[in-house]
Amino acid sequence: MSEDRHPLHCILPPYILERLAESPDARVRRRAIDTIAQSAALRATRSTLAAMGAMAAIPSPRARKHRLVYDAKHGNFVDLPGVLVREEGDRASKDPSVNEAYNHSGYTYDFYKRVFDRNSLDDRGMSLVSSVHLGRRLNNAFWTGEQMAYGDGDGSLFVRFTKSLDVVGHELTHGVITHTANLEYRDEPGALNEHLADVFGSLVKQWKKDQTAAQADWLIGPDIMGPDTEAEALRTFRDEPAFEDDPLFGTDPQPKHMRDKYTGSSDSGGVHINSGIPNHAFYLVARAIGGRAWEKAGRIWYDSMLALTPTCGFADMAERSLQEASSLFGARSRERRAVRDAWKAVGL
Amino acid sequence: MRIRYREAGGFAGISRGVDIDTATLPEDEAHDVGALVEAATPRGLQREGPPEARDLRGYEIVIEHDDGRTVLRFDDATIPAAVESLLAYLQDRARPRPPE
Ligand SMILES: [Zn+2]
Repeated sequence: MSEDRHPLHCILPPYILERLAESPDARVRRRAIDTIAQSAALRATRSTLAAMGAMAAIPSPRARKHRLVYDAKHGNFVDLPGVLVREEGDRASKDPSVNEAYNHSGYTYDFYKRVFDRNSLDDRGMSLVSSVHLGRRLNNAFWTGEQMAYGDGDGSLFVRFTKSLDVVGHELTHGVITHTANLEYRDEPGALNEHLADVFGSLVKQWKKDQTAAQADWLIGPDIMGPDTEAEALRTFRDEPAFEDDPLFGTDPQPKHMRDKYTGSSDSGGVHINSGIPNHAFYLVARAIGGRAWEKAGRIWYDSMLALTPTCGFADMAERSLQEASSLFGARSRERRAVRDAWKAVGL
Repeated sequence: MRIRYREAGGFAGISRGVDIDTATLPEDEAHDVGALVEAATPRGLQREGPPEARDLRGYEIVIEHDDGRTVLRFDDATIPAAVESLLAYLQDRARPRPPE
């Protein structure tokens, strides 16, 4: 990691920036003012969004685990959420999509609560709203800003997207990120957003299966792959492609080192592509530390997520995770060393 | 008429696409595609879903015809009903491609 970066662009809270903007040092002043100017529009959007979120989020009746599952009945985005089919405490449905959305969002809630003492996405117990059967043969799942929505898959490339716990954990983590770092969804901040969603999606699964870092598959989406593909999963945290020359999927586009970073404009600047770089760094940290990945590596990453701000890039994440590793385990700890070595290994 | 279809992003993050020249299609199919395009929209459109949404897949359909070029850009939150049939036709023919 190079030391010439300046953390001003994302780590400093606004009140410190405002103080720096009045600094007697002209260079400090200039840089602070530039940073404020760059982020002013964004912060305005963010506070509006936060206010909207507070209004839109359905408060959980007792501010604890509260799930609502809707059937979108193949309607479109504008028809969301659809018809309520299962609420917290209701008996299982005959529909496996409904039960998977219910169970997997429950495991994700439990994971955040027990491991990080976080009470739902907003840490204020907001209800977890899922809609299944969105669209027709839709090969996707997403977070709308307020809820999860899952397609059924086309039955060839993919089956229903509720089937993988890591997919559900990924989508819900987008909700956590919205309420914390709120990383912009483009370029490196967007790839970090995707990275954190993959990390905690994978950790929910490892936690549920009680697997060590050595036992975990480190795959994203293995259970949603359709019958017509040999591809094992969509992404892997390991240093190898998840699939290669697959007739349906082609070749895994994810880089695992900065020298291979995608620089095109597709996918909002490669947010689902370049997440491979920090994903691999996280994997290296977890493997180097050993044991259960959510206990130490996950803790470092969770604390970093709370500290990041919307325009942070990979270097900021690397720096922040080093700081968190130091404060959690000590500046000379093997945990901090593992973090430093991992970022170095991916070119940061 | 030439049609260029691309999709990218979404949870899967897979880029797919297809290029179709109706002059190379069997007459019946070329006629059907013409009808799908006509039903889709006479003008271009660009619609994005809510900025706070994550993992929406993006779609782009570029139609080159004798009298010009029509560009349709949308995502999972904004799929126009009129485009659904054309989109299904193109998705059935799309193949993986490296991200552009
Ligand atoms: Zn995502």
